[in-house]
Amino acid sequence: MTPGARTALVVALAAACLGAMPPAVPPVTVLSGLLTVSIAPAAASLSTSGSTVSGTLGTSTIIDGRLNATGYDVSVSSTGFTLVGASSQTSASFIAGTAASVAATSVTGGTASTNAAHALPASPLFHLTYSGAISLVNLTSTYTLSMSLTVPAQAASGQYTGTVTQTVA
Amino acid sequence: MHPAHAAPSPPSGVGQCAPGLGIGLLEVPKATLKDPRARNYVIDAVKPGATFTRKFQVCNGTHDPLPVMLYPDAATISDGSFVLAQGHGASDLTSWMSIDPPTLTVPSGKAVIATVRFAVPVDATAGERYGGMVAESPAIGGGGISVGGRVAIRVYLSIAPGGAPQSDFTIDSLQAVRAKDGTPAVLAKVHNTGARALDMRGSLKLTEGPAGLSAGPFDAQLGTTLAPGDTAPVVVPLDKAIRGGPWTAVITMTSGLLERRAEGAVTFPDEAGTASPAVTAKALPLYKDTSVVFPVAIAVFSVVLLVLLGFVLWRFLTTRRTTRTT
Repeated sequence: MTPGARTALVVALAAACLGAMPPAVPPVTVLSGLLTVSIAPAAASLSTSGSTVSGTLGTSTIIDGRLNATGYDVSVSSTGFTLVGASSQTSASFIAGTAASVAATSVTGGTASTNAAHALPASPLFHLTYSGAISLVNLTSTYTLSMSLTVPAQAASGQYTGTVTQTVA
Repeated sequence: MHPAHAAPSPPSGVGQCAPGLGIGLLEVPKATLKDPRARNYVIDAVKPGATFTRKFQVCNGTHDPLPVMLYPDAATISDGSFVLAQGHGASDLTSWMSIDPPTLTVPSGKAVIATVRFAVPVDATAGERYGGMVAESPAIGGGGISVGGRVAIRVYLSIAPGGAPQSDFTIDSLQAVRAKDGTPAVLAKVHNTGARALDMRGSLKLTEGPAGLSAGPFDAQLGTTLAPGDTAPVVVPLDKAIRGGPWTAVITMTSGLLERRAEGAVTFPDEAGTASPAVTAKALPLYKDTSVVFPVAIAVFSVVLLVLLGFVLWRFLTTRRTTRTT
């Protein structure tokens, strides 16, 4: 085999191997900056009035300390709302939203969400109050969150429990 | 929306951490180091069969040790927003992701580093997938209701057997509006014409207004995310002093390193809560962009100057050599 042919063979083999390999791990460098969410502790409470269950969910603060921040979205969801103590209702629904029903004495699968960039709009389930300073460099939003849930009158006498989760990404 | 009220004072941070639960990317590919989106999100385009890892940190800005769950979550883009699934959403992307450690307790005021590993199957089909690396703290109870917080790093992973797909967008129209509180704004309708998602930011200038007035630049509201093919308005709030028109509105929108400019004549309505008809936005070529024109002009001028200097030097040397010979 001539030197030229040998070189061509080596190049071809190398190319074949590279083509068969998955792409290499991309080189990386170290960054800093955080997207944080804080929720005021022990500020949540539920109360009922007629056929309305109201919740005060406290104050949340979002601080976007990432370099070259491009914004974030906030979503709020509720899960596991349960009613204990009422009886005789067969069905109920949230004002709007998805998957809400009452079976016997439990509201099961109650789930609704709303999302927005910064401006947390009012939604059928969660009535949100928003205020905050927004800047390009350090996007900070502080808002209070409250919810309102309509249930059948006969269900309002029970004890509701549930979880609300705020997600920032 | 309910009317805004005075913002309560935000809680103070602890140690190196801002208040609450924080998350942030620690690594970015060198190839996309200049892309602001790559600094905040995972936006890689890889071939089927690719594996890679990315380090990120979780920070505890509370006064107590914080138990945190780390997990991948599915996401969608709809109505201009990037929305993570509730709970532990599953998708093909989440099945390719694993996070180590999955649970941890972060000391007060400290950051802990975690690693997400992506392992794309060799038979993965082309297209962009959306998801997130989520850090979740336990819900805080009280009064029959618990409130929990999740914070996440977005993932826009493009599977591209033939190389990274193109990103592109157009600014289709501009519309002058006046909000119910009297604040004027311009709505720029942006259309994602590329094959990857976009995270929009930008600014708007008003020129050639009444009596030759100019105003701006005004920053666009952040947070609008567009999936390929999507169209959504990007809002640019203006100063309440802006009135009437017509004005020439020049808007510059970017997503990462991609930039587009457009202009249109807008007239602001006087009545709160009303909008003027949308006008078609005229795309502005880059050669009208001073940020492009000036560097190019300087580069061309430098080349011409160098050529001239070289010519003069050559003539000088040639003349001297001829003089010596004679």
